[in-house]
Amino acid sequence: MLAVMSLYLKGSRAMETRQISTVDSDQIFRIWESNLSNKWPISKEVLISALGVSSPSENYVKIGV
Amino acid sequence: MGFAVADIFNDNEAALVLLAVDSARQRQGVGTKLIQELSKLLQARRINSISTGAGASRLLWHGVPTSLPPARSFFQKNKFIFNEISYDLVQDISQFTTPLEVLHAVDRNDISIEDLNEKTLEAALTFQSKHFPDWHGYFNEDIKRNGYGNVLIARRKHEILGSVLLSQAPECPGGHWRDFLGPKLGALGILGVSPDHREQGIGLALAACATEALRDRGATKCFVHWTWLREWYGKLGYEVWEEYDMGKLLI
Repeated sequence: MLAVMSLYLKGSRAMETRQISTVDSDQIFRIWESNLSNKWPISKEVLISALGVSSPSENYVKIGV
Repeated sequence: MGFAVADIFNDNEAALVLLAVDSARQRQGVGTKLIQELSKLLQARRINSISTGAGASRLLWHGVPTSLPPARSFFQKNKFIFNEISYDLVQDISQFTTPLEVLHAVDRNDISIEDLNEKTLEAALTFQSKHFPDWHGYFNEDIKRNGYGNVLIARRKHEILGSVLLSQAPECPGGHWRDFLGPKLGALGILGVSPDHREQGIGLALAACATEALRDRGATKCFVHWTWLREWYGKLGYEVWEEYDMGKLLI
């Protein structure tokens, strides 16, 4: 179940945060590519594994906006 | 627009594995909201600090890369306190040879650098428990999984004076950077010498022999993860791959 919480910026536009999971892998990798892949090339599979996104461990807290 | 991942360890601490915001959505408060929300979720689980990576069971970086100056500013603005700098080091080891002065130190101290074996196992584990209790688990786990071949020891007669653990990609520190560093990546780590035998060149001899061993196993680059000893490893040719600001946020 997704925990969805509404947060508000100074302006009127709302941002929502929610838990992320493996279904978000493409978006996570796209954000990595937009920022960091030039200096730190990494495959999507390795990135998702390194982030623990696919880990069932409850020790991971994973959220996205 | 962005995401954050934290890993809880030691019951009441967390490590920020990564926080990233789409380049088109930066400077709009997304990162700050992620920190605030993450802090709330972690506080609810009785966590009282978030490190900049150190402590995570898997990690990309163990701090904030100093090659990303805006990242440092972002974390400082969000009340993270930085208190030390550390490094990941790397070296092309395809032509590595141990410097002569390192070999002389081995002779002068009458020590041998050798693979761990069944006969020396118990003494090596006792050595770890006594001098490096935090590392004991790593050694034990690696020996159970891979046998003796990844551990080198420095020994004088029956006394273990030091040890080092070797590993190779993909299951090695820095292994997730193999697209960048190359698939033939090796790593040495958790290298330690007993307090009474330091400053004699034993540690450097262990590092050199570990580097040679990785070269002989086909590694062309060797990674040294999370160290403060930049100059010390530099004596063997290791260079800084990335520098990190390390710190934490108290929540």
